Amino acid sequence: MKLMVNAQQLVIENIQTIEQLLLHLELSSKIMIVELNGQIIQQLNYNNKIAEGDVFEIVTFVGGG
Amino acid sequence: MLKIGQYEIESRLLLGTGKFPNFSMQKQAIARSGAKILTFAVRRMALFDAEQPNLLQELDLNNYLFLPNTAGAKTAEEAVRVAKLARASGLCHMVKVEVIGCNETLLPDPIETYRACEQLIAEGFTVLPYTSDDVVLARKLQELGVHAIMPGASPIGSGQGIINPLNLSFIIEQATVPVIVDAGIGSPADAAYAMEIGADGVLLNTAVSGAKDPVKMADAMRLAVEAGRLGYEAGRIDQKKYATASSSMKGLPHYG
Repeated sequence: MKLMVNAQQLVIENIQTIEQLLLHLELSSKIMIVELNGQIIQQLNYNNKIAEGDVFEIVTFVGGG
Repeated sequence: MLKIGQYEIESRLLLGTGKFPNFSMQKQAIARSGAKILTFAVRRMALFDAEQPNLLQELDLNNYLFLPNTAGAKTAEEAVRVAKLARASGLCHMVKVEVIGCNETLLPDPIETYRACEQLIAEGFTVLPYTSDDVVLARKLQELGVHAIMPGASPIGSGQGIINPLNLSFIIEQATVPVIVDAGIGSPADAAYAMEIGADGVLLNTAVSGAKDPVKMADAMRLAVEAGRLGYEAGRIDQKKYATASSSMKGLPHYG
């Protein structure tokens, strides 16, 4: 399955849900916000299935003034 | 007590978290500053990087109010999108609206800032716009319903201090919401001066993170904001052209 995550093209196997994707990306324990195809996904919906061509933006808080 | 919207904050110093030399210094500076409101930017996470540093994990989240900024947004729509992403974290309902219109001066785009505030107020955010010291813009933003006005002292990170105290005093005079001087503070004297002329708070970042000793400077800024506020409340003397002796001329002993 091909996905875009933070403007990077990824090819992944055996990953069905957002939760599994985050684990795969080594992100699951962090404070973060997930946007899928332009929509913000609440944590309770991380069990949702992902699909071919999905575009993710995964962001967090960094230092700033 | 500093009151912003529904929030009451003990400290009138707001601290930015950018550009510290390392995490340890950043944590110590935050603690020493006494700041209760911390600003952050919203950026993409690094992928496949389990060890990526994350300041938020180091902080006791119950001790602070988070003020995410919309830095990077060039339009109102981009600013609104960033604000919504930040709010989705569940950690913050305030937003610093920062929509920059010029890459060299980093001065805010007044039109996009106004439009972003309009949309964010409608979405229920507590809205704190970073603006230039344009007096009429500040008034219009107040009329819109923003929860604070954050005029710049001078360009971001420039350390020039308050270059237009006149405009700042006009903004403070007409204020119906807290005025927090944000951007360009360089020294503790700058922070104290802002408070002395009646600002409700000061937001600074580079002045601390870029100092030779950021932890000591955080301490200094905390004291400066306190001193400035006390001085303002105490009511300073007027400035006069000529001298007025401190001691009476009566009862002078006979000299030689």
